[in-house]
Amino acid sequence: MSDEMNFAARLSESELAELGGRGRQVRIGPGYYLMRQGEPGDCIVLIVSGLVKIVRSDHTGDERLLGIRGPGELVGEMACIDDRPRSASVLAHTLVIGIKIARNSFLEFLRDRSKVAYEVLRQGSLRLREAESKQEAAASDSVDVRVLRELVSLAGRFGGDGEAVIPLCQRELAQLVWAAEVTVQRSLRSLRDRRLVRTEYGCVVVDCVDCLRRAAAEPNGTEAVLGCGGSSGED
Amino acid sequence: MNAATPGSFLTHIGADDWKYLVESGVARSCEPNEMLFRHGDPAGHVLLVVDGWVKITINAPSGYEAVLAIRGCGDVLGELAVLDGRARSANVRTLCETRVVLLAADRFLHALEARPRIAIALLSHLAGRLRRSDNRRVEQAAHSATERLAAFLLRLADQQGAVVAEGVEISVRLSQQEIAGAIGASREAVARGLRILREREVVITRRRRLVITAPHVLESMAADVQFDTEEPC
Repeated sequence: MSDEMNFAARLSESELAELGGRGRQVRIGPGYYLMRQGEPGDCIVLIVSGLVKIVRSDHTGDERLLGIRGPGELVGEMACIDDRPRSASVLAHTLVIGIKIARNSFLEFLRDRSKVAYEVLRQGSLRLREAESKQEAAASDSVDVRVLRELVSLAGRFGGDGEAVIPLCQRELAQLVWAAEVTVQRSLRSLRDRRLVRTEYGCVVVDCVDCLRRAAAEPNGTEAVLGCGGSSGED
Repeated sequence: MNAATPGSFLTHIGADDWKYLVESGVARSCEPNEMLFRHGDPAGHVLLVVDGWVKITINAPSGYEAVLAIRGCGDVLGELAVLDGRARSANVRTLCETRVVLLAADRFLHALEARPRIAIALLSHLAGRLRRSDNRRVEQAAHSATERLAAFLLRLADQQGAVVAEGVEISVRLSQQEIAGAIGASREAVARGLRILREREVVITRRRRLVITAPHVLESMAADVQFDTEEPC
């Protein structure tokens, strides 16, 4: 995750301490919900450690993955601010430790600390742009390009510079890039043939994130970069 | 001042805070069809629409300028780029004589700091846009590209269809790429969808024209696909 998206990293120590002092620590095990779609926005959670999935049901009840958030990020603040039911659910993907703050206390804090309100605004602005650029990409870039770009971004969350294990199934990956699952499977097959990724049950393994980044930086359709399979990291 | 456009920033912000913002900036009158922001420009200011109408557009690869939204009195324009320091993401052009207030970036940010209520109102406004964007994404994904194409063609027929001998004719001045952008699909998916509709004899395509010969089939394909007409930008 880029520092730009890390809410906590952009606050001063005293601001962070004061915000933390307004809430209490919560621990949520993997698979449990932190928030549910349709509920009123009565609290926010600042994630201290662990990863959450943001999922939303469509009108048929099918759940779709909208995004992943991790340490330093806020979840649930939008419904607190616009006072409408939550538009998505937040699900713990790993063990999550967070600080839960009641809506009123959070809003009071924003009114007192305009710099913090500004940071929340900046996060909202970046998320809106992210959503819109994905929609534009869905209309103009090939699925191969989108999958590669998404994997690089996910590798930043789930791994270091060497190896990354991305614990998402192919269906979830397809939802993140706004493409059909079969098309994404085809893209992954071609990335596998180039030794850039390995697919295992419920996850995608990147042996060398650096190779993946170089492949994503290539002009469209070049496909010249092949994965080292993790060997270059051992030099 | 005119009434605020529904869904505009002014519906989230108090009248005195709006007045404070307006008085912090410089008023300007604009001619019809004047370009106020250009995609890719660096962001130095925000605009408040005091009177009149503007359209928000993006340049499609074919050179066609696609309209994303219409904004009017009480709206703030260009705030995303000022907030996150990136370039303008779309063009803004006046539709008629329009009065705007130009607020320099530092003044705007100062106002947010001086009056946190304004920042919270802006957040509420952004939250609405994020909700619509997420909603569109999820609902789009729930329908196939061909279903969305069917719904889109029906809407076009509603707006600009003309009855001819074979059915309803729409002069589609949109390329496949532009239709793809409108329904959130790839160009290949649009081409495939049109081929399917032609083969099933639901539509006839001619040079830049399209005739719907079996509207009822299209309607059943479109089922319950909904388009959010209030697109964020």
